Amino acid sequence: MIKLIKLELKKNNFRPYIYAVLGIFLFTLSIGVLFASIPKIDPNDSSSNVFSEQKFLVTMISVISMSSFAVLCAVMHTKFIVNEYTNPYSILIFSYPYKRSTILLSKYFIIFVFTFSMMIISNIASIFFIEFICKLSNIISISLININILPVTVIFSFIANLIGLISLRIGFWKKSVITTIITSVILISPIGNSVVLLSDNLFIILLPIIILLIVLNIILCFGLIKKVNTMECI
Amino acid sequence: MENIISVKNLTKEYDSNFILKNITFEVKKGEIFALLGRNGVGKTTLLKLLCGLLEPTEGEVFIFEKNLGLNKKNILKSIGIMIDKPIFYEHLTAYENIAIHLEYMQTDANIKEILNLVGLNAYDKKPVSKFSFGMRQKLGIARAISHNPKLLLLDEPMNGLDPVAIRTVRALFVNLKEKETTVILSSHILSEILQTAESIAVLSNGKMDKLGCVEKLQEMYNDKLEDFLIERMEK
Repeated sequence: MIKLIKLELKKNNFRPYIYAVLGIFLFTLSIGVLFASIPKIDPNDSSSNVFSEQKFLVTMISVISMSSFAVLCAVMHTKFIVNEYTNPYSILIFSYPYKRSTILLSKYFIIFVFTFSMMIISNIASIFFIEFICKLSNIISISLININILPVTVIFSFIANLIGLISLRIGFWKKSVITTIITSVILISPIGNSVVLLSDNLFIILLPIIILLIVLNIILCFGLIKKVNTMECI
Repeated sequence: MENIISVKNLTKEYDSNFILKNITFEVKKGEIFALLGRNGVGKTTLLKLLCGLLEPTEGEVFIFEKNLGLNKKNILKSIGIMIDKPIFYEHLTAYENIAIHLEYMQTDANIKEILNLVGLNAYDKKPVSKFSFGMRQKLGIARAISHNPKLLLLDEPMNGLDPVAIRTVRALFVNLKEKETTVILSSHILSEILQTAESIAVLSNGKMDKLGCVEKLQEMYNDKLEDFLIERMEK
């Protein structure tokens, strides 16, 4: 398995995904600064006060980050798995003397580790820089960094990956790159909305979502392994 | 001599259409065996069945006297494959593509020497995305032989090759023969098959017509051999 992971790292070009992570970081950073500036635009508008609350801002930034990383995860699944298990690439991968499921799991492991760790780094870095920029320009006085950021980021990163895997299964079934990406967007939208609207009870909202996603992922993962093991290169 | 391939009553069906029907044949160690047939007759399907890329509807395939369905992982280590248009990791160089392949095949080899065998030694640092069709074909052959396989399955290996490259590949086959590597190749180019193969079989209407030794056929039919083979292919 470790050897297969090393080979995946060697044969795939990670540069575009690193650029994508940088793009997501900059996008989240700009949106975060914009949100934090809203109360300053019209100080008399009381409805905009919500944007100066630490919890709301952090949740909003994290949801944007989670949505972007769910799509990135789906794109990586498309490139690493859907494309490689579609003819004519499948001839190459099925001619190697390894269990097909082991190759598949090594690919999934790399995508999981990459998107999971990159989202944690990107989200925490963007929150840190938003606070830095906003305090420097007197936009906000509150502190965004607190003890809750890490668990929230880890959970959101986990959700982004679970969504990515569900999208992969649907994309694999349709053998379509676009289907994989659209599925991730469709799935992440209601989750992101519920999290933002009910941010006061964040962990209570997230628990059933995560349980449901994990159960779905286990079922779909076994289905995918079974499918790959019996696939033919027609 | 030991049978490297032994196929028994092999049938392949797609959507109720029989591509191959009840095919039985053997290939001996070190033999260069050619599959002849018109386009779409099932040559590629048969090659895919011989390396487990397709599952037979009926029948069994034995490679190195082992059942392919039950020992696929071990058998694949000793097979070199070039089926359909060869596929590569485009952003990697020719050298890197072979290196990755060797790591997957759990073996080691002198990559420069392998590239030299197919005349690609000057292009080892060039990304495959910049390769022409003929160069890709040569690299496909290089990759297939790189892990020193005991059995080589080549689908239309001369496609897109220039006359110099064709001569190089022919010399390569002689070299492989000396190493007792068994080669199965498919083609619809008669002249090429007659120069390269030792024994031939014609695929037509899902059935295999084993014609045997090329030398004997040439003695029997002389300059009428091509007409004879075309007649068999049209059957």
